[in-house]
Order: sequence, then C-alpha cells, then structure tokens
Amino acid sequence: MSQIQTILSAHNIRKSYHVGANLIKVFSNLSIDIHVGEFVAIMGLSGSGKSTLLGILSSLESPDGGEIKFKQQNILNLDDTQKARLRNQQFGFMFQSYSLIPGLTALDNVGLPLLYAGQSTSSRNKKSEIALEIVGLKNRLAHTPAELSGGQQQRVALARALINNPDILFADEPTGSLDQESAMSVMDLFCGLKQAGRTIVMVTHDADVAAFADTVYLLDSGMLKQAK
Amino acid sequence: MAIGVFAFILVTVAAQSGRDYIFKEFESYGLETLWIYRDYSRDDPSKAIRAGTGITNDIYDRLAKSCCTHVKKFGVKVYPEDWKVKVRHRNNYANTSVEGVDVSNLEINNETLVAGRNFREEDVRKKRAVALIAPDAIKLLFGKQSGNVIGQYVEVGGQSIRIIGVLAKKDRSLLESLGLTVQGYNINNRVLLPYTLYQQQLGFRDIQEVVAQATSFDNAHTAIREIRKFLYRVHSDRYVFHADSMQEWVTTANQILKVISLVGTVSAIAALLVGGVGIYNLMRISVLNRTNEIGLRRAVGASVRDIKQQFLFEATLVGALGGASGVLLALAFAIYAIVWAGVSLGLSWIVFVLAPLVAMAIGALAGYKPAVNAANMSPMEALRYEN
Repeated sequence: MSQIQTILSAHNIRKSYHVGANLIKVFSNLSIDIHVGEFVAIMGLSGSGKSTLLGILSSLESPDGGEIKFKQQNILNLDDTQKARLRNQQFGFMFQSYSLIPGLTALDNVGLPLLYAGQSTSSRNKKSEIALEIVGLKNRLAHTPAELSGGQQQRVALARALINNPDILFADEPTGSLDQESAMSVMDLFCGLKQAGRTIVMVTHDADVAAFADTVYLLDSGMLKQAK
Repeated sequence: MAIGVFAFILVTVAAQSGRDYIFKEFESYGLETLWIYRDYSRDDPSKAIRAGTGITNDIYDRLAKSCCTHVKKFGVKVYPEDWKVKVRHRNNYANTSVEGVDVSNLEINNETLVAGRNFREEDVRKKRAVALIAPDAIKLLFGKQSGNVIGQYVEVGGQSIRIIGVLAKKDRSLLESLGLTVQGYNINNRVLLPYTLYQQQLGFRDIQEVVAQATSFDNAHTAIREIRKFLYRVHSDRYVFHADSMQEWVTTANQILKVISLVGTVSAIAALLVGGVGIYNLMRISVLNRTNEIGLRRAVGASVRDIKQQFLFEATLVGALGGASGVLLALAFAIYAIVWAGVSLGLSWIVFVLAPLVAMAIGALAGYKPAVNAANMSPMEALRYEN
C-alpha cells in the first residue's frame, strides 16, 4: 500500500512499567503502520502488552518515547482536550470486560460520545436509536446493561463505538467474554464494517477471531511480528 | 448534611425568635426609657446627709422646661417605701402597686389604654381623684363584674378614686422568669394616680424617680449625662443620683444572645462539616466504584475537565439534596411550632435560601478532591481497574 494510505503509524515506541523497584520493559522500538480500511489483529499471550499497545495507539496511554502519527499528525503533542476530541471524533472503542455504564440505558450508553461532542438530547437519542437499529437492538432502547445478554451488550458497545462515524475502531478483546455464537455474530458485524471501508485495530488472543483480520501481528517479548 | 442544615436554620430561627421575644418585652418598657433616682448607698459621709430624694416638684418642672436636648419627654414616679398598697372596691381588697405618675408616663413607658382616657394636665394640677387601672387589679377588685369599670370607684388610702382608664395587659413572662423584675411586682396589678394627688395622700414633697424618654435609643447615655449634670448643678453635688436605661438591658441581652448564637452556630457548623466529611467519603467511594466508568468516559471523549465537572456536580447535588432535606425538616419543625405549639418564630426566607446554598458550597468543597482524583486518573489504568 502507498504511504498516503497509512492512517495510523507508530515508530520506535518504548514503554516500561515500574513494579515496586523493578522496571519492566513492555516494548522498545516497536513500530507499526496501519492503513486506511485495513482490519488489523494484534495477538499475543496474556501480559504481552497487547492492550497497552492498543491504549498507546488510541491515545489512552502515553508511551515513554517514540512517535505516533494519525493522519500525519503526531498525537503525542496534543493536550488533554485535543486528545479527548480525537478519541471522541476519530476513534471508536470496544472493550472486553467493561463495555457499558451500568446505570444508563442502551440508548444513553450509545449516546455517550455524542454527549461529549456537545449534541442535544433529542439529536443524541435520534442518532442512538438508528445506531441500535443497525446492530439489531431497536427493541432494547430502554434496557440497562443488566437486562441485556453479553452478546447484546457488545452490540450496544459497537453501536456506541460507531455513533460518531470514527476513522478507526479500536477493539480490545471484543469477543473475550462471549460464547462462540455471540462472538461470531460480533465478528460478522466487524466484517461488514471492514467491507464498508472502516479501519479496525483489534487485540485478541483467539486465533479463530484473528483469522477474520487482513493483517495479524504477534506481540511477543516486546517485538511485533507480522503473522499474516 | 440534612441535620447540619436543619441545625443551621434552627439556630438562626431560635436566635431571631429569642431576640424578637426579648425585645418585645423590652419594648413594653419603652426602649428609650431612662430612670433617674437618688442613690442612697453612695452618699458621701463627709458631706451632710440630706433628707428627701433630691427631686422636688419644682426641680422636676425645671427639668421638664429647661433641660436636656437629648430628652424628648419627662415623667415621674411617686410611690411609698412599701410599694404594696391595700386598695378596696366594696368588699374586695387587693394588695396592689399604686404609683403616682404624670400625663407623659404612658407614652414614655409605651403603655396603651384599652378603655377610657389618660390623665390630663388639669387632673395633675388640680390633684383630681382619678385613676388608671391595670387588668389584674381589675380582676382582684371587681371579680366577675370586671366588664366595664370606667366610672367605678376604688378606695386608695381612705380616699375614693374614680377610674378613668384601663391599661392594656403587658407581657413580662420572660423577664420575670429571668428574674429581671422586682420580686412580687406584677406590672398588670397596678393603680396609677396623678402624682400630685398621691404626694398629697402620702404626705410627700418629693418625687422618687424621674422617668424620661431619650430622643433615640442611641442617645440614652447622653440624655442620662445631661439629666445628672442638671441635677448635680442644682444640688451642688450634695446628692448622688443613679440612672438606668433600657440601653444597658438591651446590650446585656444582645451579649447573651450573641453567646447563645455563637454556641449554636459553632454546633451547626460542626454538623455541616460532618456532613461535608460524609460527602467527601461518599464521593471518594463513588469514584473508586466507578473507576471503570471513568476510563470508559475518557475513552469516548470526556476530557479531564469533563470528569472533574461531572463529579463536582454530583457532590454539589448531594449537598443540595441534603440542604433541601434540612430545609424541609426545618419547615416541618416551624409549622409544628407555629400551628400546634403556638410559638411565634422569627422566620426569615433568607435563611431558607442561604442554608441550601451553604450546603451546596460544602458539597462542592467536599467533592473537589475526589473529583480531581477522578479527573487525573489515567484512562487505561481506570479501564484496567478491577473492583
């Protein structure tokens, strides 16, 4: 793919943690290029730093060094408000264990990014209703997460991730807590998004799920190797 | 927080009500009233001891005519040493306080009549046998037939006196309960006579007390200085005069009320602070329990400022709800006190507005640190946090 099609690139990323007096290096000089419309899966063992990498790529976490460019702009130079706006407008997120806010209805959960985008309640509700209809949950608008199954919750989370029509969807183990049938249902939705030209960066430990991606990276001992 | 606000309102209302209650009784004396009389205890032994009170009718007239720019009105009080006097109406007797007064006394002492009329100048000048009578004295003397006593006669010192006016009842229950009145003296058990008549009856040439009304409450001390100066000049310092004013009583009452208010306010503030600590803990636990939510909100676009505002708003809301509960409790208490217990309260809407605002401010202050902690969390760490 040509340089112009790269939407997100990370170069020479370094990250380490202090655990007590010990310094744990997660990765050093890690680089990755993600292209427009590409479906990327990052695999690795538990504790290999997959989620940390996803957090760094999506501006949720800062690396110790390196450069991350989104649409040619180094996002590490942005202040907190600019990063918040970037996550709100350009990125969508799905997480494994904590996808939705328990006290809010499906409609309100989906409308959360629109709230931070400053949209009115009526506009939020209207758009959220359409998003929930797309993921097949139009009849669950007023349900709270506790009243939804795991698969339904992840579909609500996907509707929320896409509500602002983001450039990139970041998904951290989106099928990790789902049964096989629900997991495949979510992956079907991802494939639909990919076909529609959406860029997806997914972290998973499940090879069957990773198989849906165009490109699969394996993160091992702080090194990122392309496996597909 | 609700208890704190309730206590805050209660203290304010109690202080205001107490002030109103006390001042109502003080006003029954007239707030600008002064009393000047000879101080026998401070006679100078090196000087020849003089007889009498040092205030004759002539001196009183001169006082009234030519003294004192800070005095509005002068009056007098004439009474025997044993101020309980036997008064009779037919076969009924009453031990009553009989006082000789001038025309101006009613106005000076803030007294009103419920029937009849006040003394006139000629009643005093001609020593007419007329009287004003207070309600308890009427009950004692007239019993069941105490409807209209105007024109009836009572006997004082063997002389038949016609009643021309009935005094309104005065409430001195608080001052009596505080021991601030002369023991056994009942202001509602009095008979007032023209002082000239009473002097004649008692064989007095002197006046026991000069009663005066200062031009204003604040001028009371200046008025006293002027009167004393006049009296000392007349007597070339041979008498010592003592003076009392309502200003001293009011100052003392204010000091007592201030102490009571201070103790109450400190207690209320302590209760509010305890409420604040409660909100702080509540918000701290809330932030901890909602750590994942904070991470999620940051991920979908909330800035540090958004998260801080959200938790500050919630803390302020908790404070406001506590404040509103306190106001409702206080209102319920006030309604109970007014409607069922018949207590008159010094209610001020400012307190009812101020108290929830204070509660909101305390809520915001208490919630500030937890809100900052929530806002400063790393989004990834917040998402990874396991409760």
